[in-house]
Amino acid sequence: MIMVQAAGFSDIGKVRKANEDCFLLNEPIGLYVVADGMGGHRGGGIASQIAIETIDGYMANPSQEFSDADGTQAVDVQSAAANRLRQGIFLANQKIYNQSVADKACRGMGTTVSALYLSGNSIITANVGDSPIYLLRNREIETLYTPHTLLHERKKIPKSMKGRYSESRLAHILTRAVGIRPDVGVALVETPCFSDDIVVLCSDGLSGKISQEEIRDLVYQNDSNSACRKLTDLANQRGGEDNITVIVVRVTSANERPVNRLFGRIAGIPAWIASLFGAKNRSRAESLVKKAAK
Amino acid sequence: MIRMLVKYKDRTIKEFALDRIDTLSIGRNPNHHLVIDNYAVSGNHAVIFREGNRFILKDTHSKNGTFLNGLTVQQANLKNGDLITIGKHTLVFLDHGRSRPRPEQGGLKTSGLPGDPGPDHTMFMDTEVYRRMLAESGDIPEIPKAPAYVAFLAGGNGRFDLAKSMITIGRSHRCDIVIGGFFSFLAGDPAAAISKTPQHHYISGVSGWIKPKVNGQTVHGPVRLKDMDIIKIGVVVLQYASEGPAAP
Repeated sequence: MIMVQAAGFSDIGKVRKANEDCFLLNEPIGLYVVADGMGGHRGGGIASQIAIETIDGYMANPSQEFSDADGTQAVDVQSAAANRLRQGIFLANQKIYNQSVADKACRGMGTTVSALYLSGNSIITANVGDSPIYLLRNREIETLYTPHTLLHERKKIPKSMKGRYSESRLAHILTRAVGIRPDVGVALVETPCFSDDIVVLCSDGLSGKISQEEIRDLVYQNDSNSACRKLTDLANQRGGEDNITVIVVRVTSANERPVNRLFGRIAGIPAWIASLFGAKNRSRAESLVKKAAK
Repeated sequence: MIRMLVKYKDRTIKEFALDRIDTLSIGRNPNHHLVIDNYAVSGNHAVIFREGNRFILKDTHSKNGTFLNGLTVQQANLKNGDLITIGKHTLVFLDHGRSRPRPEQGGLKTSGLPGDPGPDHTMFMDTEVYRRMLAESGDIPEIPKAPAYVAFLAGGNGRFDLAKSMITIGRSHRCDIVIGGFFSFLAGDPAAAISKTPQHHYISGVSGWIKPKVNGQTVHGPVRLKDMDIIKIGVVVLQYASEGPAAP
């Protein structure tokens, strides 16, 4: 079981008239999600809200059978928990897409989704779009997400479009989002969790204003709650053109592997003896082969 | 004008005009219209046929599957710019005859507010338009990345690719890297683990009396591995090589 201390905060910013960001803190099941909605007159806010509610409902309700409808996408390498999270995002994609087709006011709406799921002893993150997920470990920061923007998929820009857009523009062009198309590709990361790890999820309203190093320093110097406030305030001071949302999840204790039981030790003795002889036999066999070759 | 380009490693090796063809069969057997002599391709792999004024791709029970824009399909309608992958070959379906969605703003369609939503709003790229442009501008070569690995300096031979999200090192054969030697019973099962995040690898001690050392320093919590770090656990000495752009 992973024990965490988490906080989340969302702010409208200084320019926008509505907050289209949405976030979720579900500590009992260890699920944290940031969604940054976009498009339509009021569609963006609706899309992000549907995404949050759908993923939360799906992940919180274990009785709901996990339908492997698109077995083509499910990669066997990932654990069941990671696949479950992927299914939750697929479901959200379906719901948003259906609503955007049905409701004219919501046409073309979509949302980014960045989710953190603490399951067993792993950190599982999933993202679609450009909302960052950072991992802070040993006073260093690294990213756990794949930005789905043209800036990062620059290699994929066709020749006919090269040089037409500035970098700052490319960074705002998404190549993937939840609810825009009937299908969606999710970038998943699964990695073991350690005590004192911190995961920060935010919307691009924050990451566009504050560098990774500043986020790292602010989060390490403050507790989760005030770190959220200070990060939001700083982004607002620097303009606040977009909605700002941030979640800080601090792992207070992660059970590292169970300690070896005595029984395991005793049961391992024959294997140990075998390995001693095995190594000897192998080296002898190798030397014989070498001699024969000579 | 409906065309089908056959591409292999960025080069167009064949082109079919589909205007007057009703069926195009694909496979390794020499009786097909498009013969791909590659063991990844089944004898009868797939067929493309006309139904009314549209073309349909059908997989004819191939062993390795037919991929349409990266997803396996049994049967699907083809649209302009669709990419079909069969083995190592890519087929590009181009249909210039019918009207196609006019790209706004030079191929980018915003899904934002009517009119330009302003530079700070996020836009979504219409992937259909985008795919067509991709098909026309040629394939983009992916630079293969050499995977990170650990090389044995002692206690084993060769190297071990760090492809999995978690590599365990310990005394029993349940671990990926086995510690041998007389004192190996002091090592845990597993003794250490190398875990992976998208950009880095971390090593951490797990259990047992033999603790891993990185460059001579005993590991307590997770330690980020840097290129050419030396890891020592019992008799096993490993050198870490990070993921690099150069092929090995």
